[in-house]
Amino acid sequence: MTKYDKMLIIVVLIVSIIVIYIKALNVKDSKDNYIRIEVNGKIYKEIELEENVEKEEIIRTKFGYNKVQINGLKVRVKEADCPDQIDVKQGYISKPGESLICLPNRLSIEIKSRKNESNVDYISQ
Amino acid sequence: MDKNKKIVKISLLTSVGIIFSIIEGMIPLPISVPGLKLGLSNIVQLIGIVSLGGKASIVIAILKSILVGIGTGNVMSIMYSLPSSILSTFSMIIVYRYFKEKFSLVGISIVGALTHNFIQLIVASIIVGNLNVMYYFPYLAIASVFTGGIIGAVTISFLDRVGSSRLKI
Repeated sequence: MTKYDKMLIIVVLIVSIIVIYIKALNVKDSKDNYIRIEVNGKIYKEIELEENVEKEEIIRTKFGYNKVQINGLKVRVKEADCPDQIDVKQGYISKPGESLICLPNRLSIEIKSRKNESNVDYISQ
Repeated sequence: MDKNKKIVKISLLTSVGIIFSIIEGMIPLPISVPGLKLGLSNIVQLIGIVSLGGKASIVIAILKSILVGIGTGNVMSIMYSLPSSILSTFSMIIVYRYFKEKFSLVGISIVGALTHNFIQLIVASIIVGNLNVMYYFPYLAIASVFTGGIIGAVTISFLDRVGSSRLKI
């Protein structure tokens, strides 16, 4: 490892940690969240996240099939017909800004926060 | 050395890369970040850049993406692995060519991993139609430092043991 290698490593780590830290500051309150399901860039559905409420949402479009499980404030993709299963393997997400992605089915599920709507939007867009 | 030997070496590195990609797909990862992976097959790209040159390593990157896609039955995946694969190889070629004295293969490999992740998130954003996935870039950047660094170090120790002169054309 050269001096420049080390510099590169340190710069990347510091910048990434600062960005993550700033984002974390903006989304302190993680109650009052909802998920936005988008298919092919268009909003498919928005669902409120409430504690102790279990729901399942089946998304069937021309791109494919996904079954979303909402477990209180956590969301995951339970089943999908895509070959890579990356969205299923991703498991539960629960923090605003996090999203589940299924590329073959053009699906994205993002957790959004109502209280910090402007901040979250500013960061994610 | 002649053209046939070069073709054989490109094929060998490509096939090793395909095996790495397939093995990597079998390793479960504990953290849920889309796009996170070890990048084992990047070893092949690095060896290619050092021993066969830039053009050959781009050829390896293209062949690998296409053949892994066909081999795993996930043909759609070619569409989103090809751009990141080509551009990450390209970034490593640039760093190797112009900053060889400054960066070792560890740094070059990290640059490749960063580029790979960044392009992959851009491709994902385009396909899904929104920029939500970019949220994960800082996490992937941190991961790139470690995965890229490890892959670079492994490649260095491989080249030391084999002696890069034996791989050279």
